[in-house]
Amino acid sequence: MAPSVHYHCPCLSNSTTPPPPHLPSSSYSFHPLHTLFFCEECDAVRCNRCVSVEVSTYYCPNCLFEVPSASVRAEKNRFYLFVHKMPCNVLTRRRCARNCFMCPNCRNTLSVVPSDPPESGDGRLAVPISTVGEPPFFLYCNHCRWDSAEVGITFEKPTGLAAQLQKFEDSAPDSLEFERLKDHFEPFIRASSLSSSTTSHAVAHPSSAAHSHHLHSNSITAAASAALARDIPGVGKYNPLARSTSSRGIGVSGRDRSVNKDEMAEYRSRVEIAKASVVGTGGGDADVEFMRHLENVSEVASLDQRWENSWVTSLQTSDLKPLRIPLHSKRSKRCPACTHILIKPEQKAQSVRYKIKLVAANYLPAITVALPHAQKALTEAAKRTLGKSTSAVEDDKTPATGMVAGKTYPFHLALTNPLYDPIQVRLSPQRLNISTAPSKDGPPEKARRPPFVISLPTSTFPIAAFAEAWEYDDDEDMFGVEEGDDFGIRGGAREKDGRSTRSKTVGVLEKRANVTIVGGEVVIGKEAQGNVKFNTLVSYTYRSDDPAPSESNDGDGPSIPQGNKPPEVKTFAFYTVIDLGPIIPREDSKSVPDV
Amino acid sequence: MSGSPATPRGKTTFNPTTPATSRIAGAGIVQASPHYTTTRRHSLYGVEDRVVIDPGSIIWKVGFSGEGKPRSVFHPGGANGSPLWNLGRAADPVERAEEDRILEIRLQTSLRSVFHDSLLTDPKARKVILVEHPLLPLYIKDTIARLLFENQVPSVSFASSHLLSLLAIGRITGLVLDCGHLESVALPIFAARPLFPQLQTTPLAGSRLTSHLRALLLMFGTYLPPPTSLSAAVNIPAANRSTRVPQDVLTAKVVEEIKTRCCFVGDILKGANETSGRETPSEDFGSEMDAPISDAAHSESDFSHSGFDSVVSSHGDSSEFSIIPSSHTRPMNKSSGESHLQALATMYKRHSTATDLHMRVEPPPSQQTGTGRGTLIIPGWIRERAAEVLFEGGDVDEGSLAETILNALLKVPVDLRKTLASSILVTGGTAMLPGFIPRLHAELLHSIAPPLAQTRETNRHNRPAPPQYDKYASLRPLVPYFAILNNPSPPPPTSDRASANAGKAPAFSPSTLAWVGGSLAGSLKTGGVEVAREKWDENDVNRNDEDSMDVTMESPQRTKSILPDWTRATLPPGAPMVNPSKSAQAA
Amino acid sequence: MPPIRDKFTIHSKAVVCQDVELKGDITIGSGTIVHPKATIFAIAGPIVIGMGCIIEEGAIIVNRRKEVMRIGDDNLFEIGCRVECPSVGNFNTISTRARVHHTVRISSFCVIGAGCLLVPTEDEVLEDYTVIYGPAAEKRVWSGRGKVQEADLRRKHAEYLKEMLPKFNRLRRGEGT
Repeated sequence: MAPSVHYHCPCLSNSTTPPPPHLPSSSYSFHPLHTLFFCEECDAVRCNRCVSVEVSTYYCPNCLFEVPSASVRAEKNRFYLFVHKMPCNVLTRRRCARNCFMCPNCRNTLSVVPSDPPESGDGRLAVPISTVGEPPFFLYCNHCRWDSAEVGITFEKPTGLAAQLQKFEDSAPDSLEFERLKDHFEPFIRASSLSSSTTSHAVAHPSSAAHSHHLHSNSITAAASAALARDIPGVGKYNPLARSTSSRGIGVSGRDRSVNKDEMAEYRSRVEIAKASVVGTGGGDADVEFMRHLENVSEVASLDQRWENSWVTSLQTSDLKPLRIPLHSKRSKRCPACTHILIKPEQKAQSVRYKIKLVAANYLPAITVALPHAQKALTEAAKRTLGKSTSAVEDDKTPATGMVAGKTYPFHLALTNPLYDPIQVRLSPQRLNISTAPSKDGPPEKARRPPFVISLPTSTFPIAAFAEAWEYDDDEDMFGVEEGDDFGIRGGAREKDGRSTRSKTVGVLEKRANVTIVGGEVVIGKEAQGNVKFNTLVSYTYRSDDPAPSESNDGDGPSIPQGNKPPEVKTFAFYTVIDLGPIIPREDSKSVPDV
Repeated sequence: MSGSPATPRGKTTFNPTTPATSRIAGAGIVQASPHYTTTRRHSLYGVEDRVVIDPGSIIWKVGFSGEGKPRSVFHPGGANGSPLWNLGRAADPVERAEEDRILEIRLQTSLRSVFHDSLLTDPKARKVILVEHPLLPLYIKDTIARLLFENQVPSVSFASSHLLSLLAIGRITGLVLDCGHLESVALPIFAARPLFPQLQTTPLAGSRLTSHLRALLLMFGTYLPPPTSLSAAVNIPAANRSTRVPQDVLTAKVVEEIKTRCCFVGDILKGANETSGRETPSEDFGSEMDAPISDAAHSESDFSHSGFDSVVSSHGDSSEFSIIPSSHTRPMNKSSGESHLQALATMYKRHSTATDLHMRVEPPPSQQTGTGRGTLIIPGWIRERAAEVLFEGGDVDEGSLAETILNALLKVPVDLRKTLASSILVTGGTAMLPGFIPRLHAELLHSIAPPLAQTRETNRHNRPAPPQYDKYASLRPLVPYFAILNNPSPPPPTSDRASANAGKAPAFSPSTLAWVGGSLAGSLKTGGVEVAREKWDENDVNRNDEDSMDVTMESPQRTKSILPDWTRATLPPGAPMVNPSKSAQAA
Repeated sequence: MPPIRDKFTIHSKAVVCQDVELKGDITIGSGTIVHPKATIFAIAGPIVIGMGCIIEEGAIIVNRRKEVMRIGDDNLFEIGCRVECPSVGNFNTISTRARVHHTVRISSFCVIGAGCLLVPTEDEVLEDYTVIYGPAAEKRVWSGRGKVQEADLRRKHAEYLKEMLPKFNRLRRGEGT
């Protein structure tokens, strides 16, 4: 597990301070920077959870055919005509309705291929140059070589496959049975809604209490009120009056009294499960036999290959049918507070650009965290594996990259400024989080003593402005942002020379281009467990609108601007959670490789 | 319109493996049905079709009403399939608040993905039918409803999953057993009325099966790690490389895959009939043998402790490894748990002919050297007999599935028993195990059989034999009538009624029955108590006004909730619902 | 072990680039294309490659056994794959970065998917039309439908390379022709 930095979005709670990081639920308040948005109006971070979503287009991710968004949003009558004219009514299944299918076996995209010319029969493969394929066509997976002819699906022509298959789907046994069920219940429902007024005499009936109760608790029952007009066997008294109303019931054969308590006519299934299962579907004896003699797991389709079928299906992988490719949507997102659009993609499915894009990465400094000792160990390990001795050494690898309780480790935070102006950053780790820990950490003695202590430079430090040119140049060329050095000395107060002395761990370590690397240190307690994970408030000041490269001397003070345009300096603060990874308990650091 | 089975589609569409019939061109006839076009258009372009959500603790099924199958089925807890909720709830308020927060966040994510990813529909446009399990905890129901209304859903209807399942097979009366992940619940339903007071439940369900399967695999499975190095040209025979199964290998995902792809339910144990060798569940091996189970007449002969030794010796390769007690899941914490499993193993092995299976699994992190996957060898008897745990009752609170059904029957009014006994419906994901339903039928008959005569009873601990307690004597006349409606392989019928019912349900799969019923109810414009958004909002405002003090602690103050809830429905004094259960007990 | 003696027999119609690492006794048949940076090591026994094979960049073919390693016709070894099989039939595809151990013998029309590791500890023969795919190296059997078209494509591919590769690479010639 690589160490990570996630950013807080306060949408889940009312308070601005984030939940303590040891709570499992806190992970839902923190997000990777690249998933966050920034609302300029509200001057706030927004996450995917709090934004409101609008769909602008539906499209097939495979053929990029798009369904106009209007159709989806409006869904008014006049629109249907339009949908109808489309070559494929994509809305039907929320699936691509052209020629796009997925392999049921490996979920790769299927391609349509013609059949091979008939073999010459002499055993030797005749390979005519530039064969012209001939019908029937079938779907073919280039990855696992599944083809639809295996399950008996072939096509007369290579276009409009979905339409050709639609007929097949329409006649699926589940749809047919469903319609039959509907037909079975419809007269009953209709009758009951008609009779609901006429059965009012039931109020006087002893079972009326039950009646009203059930009306209250379940309105399927209400719909079935024809049944409710009569009494329940074993419930209350037998009432001849009610009996007469039950003559609406259809079952008549009366020797066994309880046979006909159902008012419903008996439903006769189109395909009974007992018959269907004979051929090896539905979990009957045939399936059991198949399972008993199973030789290879892959012969049985996995759950997610089967679970969408409401109809009993064969267990076997060899019976899977091609899947349609589900549509994807392009979504625009709005700020929940001011309803300004945060991100809006271009309508066309083929385009990957955005009309509006207010992503947090353009506003907040990007922070990455690294553990130098772990990196060193990893590179060494990589060297070792390169040097061919792949076999050994997992044992000492884990402690090398992990953090053992009772030790002290340095870590590096690299902050990247996305703004065109230099910024002043101040980090303040949230220390009180440990004291609020008791509930989750279980044993009280651990709660009393903080499991680890973080030291980070507390004074502000600068990060140079972002310049487009740096994106194209090598890192080395961009070193000499000369003013940066001054700040390094002032900012990382404990160090005389931030860049040269690597032995110092806390403070500004390195500055180049628009990146500043800050060193921190974690002292892990002897009894510590869990992850080294702490919240940090990052506040930065920036000049709100001064695109000219400033001589950023005005950033001396922690946050009080001294520049020539004081009102234009703003401060923004946000919380992050920094996760340095798990602590390896001291005693069993050898025996339990902590993963 | 009738969709009579005489039309050609009746034959063409079923059994698509026949190439001739399933050629697409051949299916053109179907288009001729005017019925189809009308209903289809209706379901395509109208917004009156509602969104049907069947939210389970590990699997959700979502789709539109009026359709025969769900549009999307997914794990709401992410790919590793961790349950959204479970039976327990933290007692400590702080922890509970934390749990609730996580639940809410995960539910919200799931519900969003229902609308945005699975159904691609605007939540504002569609009413929602929520398939509601009768024992779904209220706070979860409440949270789901709140999240739905926050998404601007026009209305939410709550429909009982058991009743919907019955609808899906065209009936309104039956005894429905839902064998899901967390628990199995039997609920009698008469004339579309769920008899909630007669509901019976047992925690023997999918998650118990999972933990049992895991325990068995840890004990008796074999694991072949991947080769340590690719360049090593030496061939180490598999026997020398085989080890016990490391815990890390059996991730939830792997166990789930084994459960769904390898396991099935074999016949009733052959020896069981003569010896009544029914085990108690792992927890109470030694202590609670005299629990009032139907067949308290226990015979240990079949799996005595001498058998345990023989297993160890026959399992030479696995016995070299010391067993770390902590490595086992909950049911195995006691040391007796292991010997119990050993005893089970001997017995199961004798009663299984299933083949061993090899499965490729991700090696534990310590072995990930880039040399591919390890191999897990799953003994055939585990595949066949892991599910025995569901059919072995024991604890009074953990009756077997058959006992759960029988207990429900016992509580039902006498007049209804015959009807219900002959229309048992089994639903839920766990019931998808091949052979599950036929086995359940056999178990019903077995459990109801009279306890064995005292002669065979050699009491294990020289305790006086408990008095014969014949719990199900009153049900015994029903035996010829027992019929499971969706039994794929019904036994030869013993009565007209059984033959008219057993296996006559349409061939919907047990796991989706509730969803299909919800879809059906939606298309019939019925389906549960509807709560409109206006009503909810109104209620919400009121609530916020009143308890402004504790805005954060929402759940306790929810007594005024407008959500329908059968457990809170006040019964009028002497309501008919209460009486029958009393009379049944008297009977 | 005696030092490996190099002996390359390259058919005159084969296209073997200069920048190819060859070691040991290797025979390359007519129409076979060997891209630059491919590696063919006949460590223990000789390697015989048939006609019309395509061996792409970075592919490694190793014979660790004493017996002759025979590779049939029209096989495709994609970029970065590693094959040590003692025998390979015809019309097989070994995809990118796949790795096949010396315990496996490949028949004909088999496909080893991208990145698949096939390292069984016991000897194994892949029957005709076996397809290995996916991260777990799952196995299935291809119906063979579409094989003519694929073979056709393979031939065209080889023809194109035969034309294009010599324009940009120096070719290697073996002792025998």
